[in-house]
Amino acid sequence: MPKNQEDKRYDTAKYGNMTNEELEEILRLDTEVGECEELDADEILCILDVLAEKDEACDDKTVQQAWGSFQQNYMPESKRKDVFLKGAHRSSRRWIALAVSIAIVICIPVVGGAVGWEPISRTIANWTKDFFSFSKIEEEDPVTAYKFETDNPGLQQLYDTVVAGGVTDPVVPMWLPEGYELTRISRQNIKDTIRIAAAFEKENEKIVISYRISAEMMSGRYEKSDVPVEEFEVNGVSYYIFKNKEKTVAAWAAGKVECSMSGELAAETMHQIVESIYRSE
Amino acid sequence: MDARQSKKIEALYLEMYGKMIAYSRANLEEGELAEEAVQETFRIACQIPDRLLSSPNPQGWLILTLRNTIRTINRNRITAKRIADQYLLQQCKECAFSEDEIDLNILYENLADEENFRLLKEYAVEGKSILEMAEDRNITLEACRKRLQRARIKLQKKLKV
Repeated sequence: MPKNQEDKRYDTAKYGNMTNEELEEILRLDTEVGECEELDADEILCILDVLAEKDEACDDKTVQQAWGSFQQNYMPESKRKDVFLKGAHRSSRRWIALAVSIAIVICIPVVGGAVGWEPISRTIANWTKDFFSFSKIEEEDPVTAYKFETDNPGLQQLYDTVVAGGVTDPVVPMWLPEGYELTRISRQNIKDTIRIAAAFEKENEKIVISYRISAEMMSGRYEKSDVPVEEFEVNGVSYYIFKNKEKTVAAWAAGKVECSMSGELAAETMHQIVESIYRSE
Repeated sequence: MDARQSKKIEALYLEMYGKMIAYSRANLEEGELAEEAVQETFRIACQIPDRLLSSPNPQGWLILTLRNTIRTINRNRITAKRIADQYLLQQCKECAFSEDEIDLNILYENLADEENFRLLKEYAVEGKSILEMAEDRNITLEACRKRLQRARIKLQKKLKV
């Protein structure tokens, strides 16, 4: 479905006098700059139109070969749906008595002096007297497709935002307790880190779900109360649940994403929300 | 994805492949990686066809998703390279060279019989696409992804020792 020429907001003449190298440099910088400076889609398409006019276009044979390769090698993965629905189990729960207080999520470098550390499949979870954090985030390839189904439009919007951020790991729950509606969603690009946060509210109660995507050795830190950290595993991913004042917090890392959810919920409800990441019922 | 959506995505693929590969090549040095970024973008599109096809500007949606995919590939490679380098330095801690004098190419060769390391090396240092690595090993793309993922985890665990 070709886009109407009238829809284009950019004039190809602006780029017509530039060399191919200059145009390619503009495109190269586009993936390196922050969100404020990046080009919008129409401008990129305009530059690509100019390049296509200057260069020999990709011939039909090449395109057909690429399409064949896509169907043979990539399409089967995108059609797989229930790959994450199997094998969920809980490991024995581990309770470790550790300490203190409350709720800020700050992005700062991981500091030394962790009192406890526990290797998990993709990260190292650290907890000290006052804080809980992940010390390293394993970068992964995009994972096999799974089917995201939800009755909550806010969760669907959150899922779309997360996927648009380049995340294909299953990290968004498909279920929240009845009545919670999306009231705010934000996405911030800070250097190499993307932060996505969404607030769901029901009357005066709130659930906040946040994601941090970064390759740096940075970690959000979660202040916690003087109660144990509960660890459990679903689909090979370790989840940590702990109390932070009145709130229950779930934190985990999946692929390149560090995730947390918090709300004034019972731990059992938080468990249900976590498990809904992999199934809608 | 139903037949109607498949047809539309195929049409978009044929229309946009040339432009998307040009954008991808401007950002990824290796040609195979550039193609992988485009294929990966369409794989994501096939996961959420409604999002693509209901967009007022599907071509723009594809370009922006491609940009995110390229950023992800670059981040993945940087991280994999860092893990590989840390692993090598740890392996070499008993060697007499100072860190500056370590010839990483020689070390890579010396460790080439270790499949996990070879996978990471091919991905992070040689810039091979996952599809190329899968074809070399006569395994599926998905199996190769999983092997690569396990290789990273294994090396990271060694780094923790």
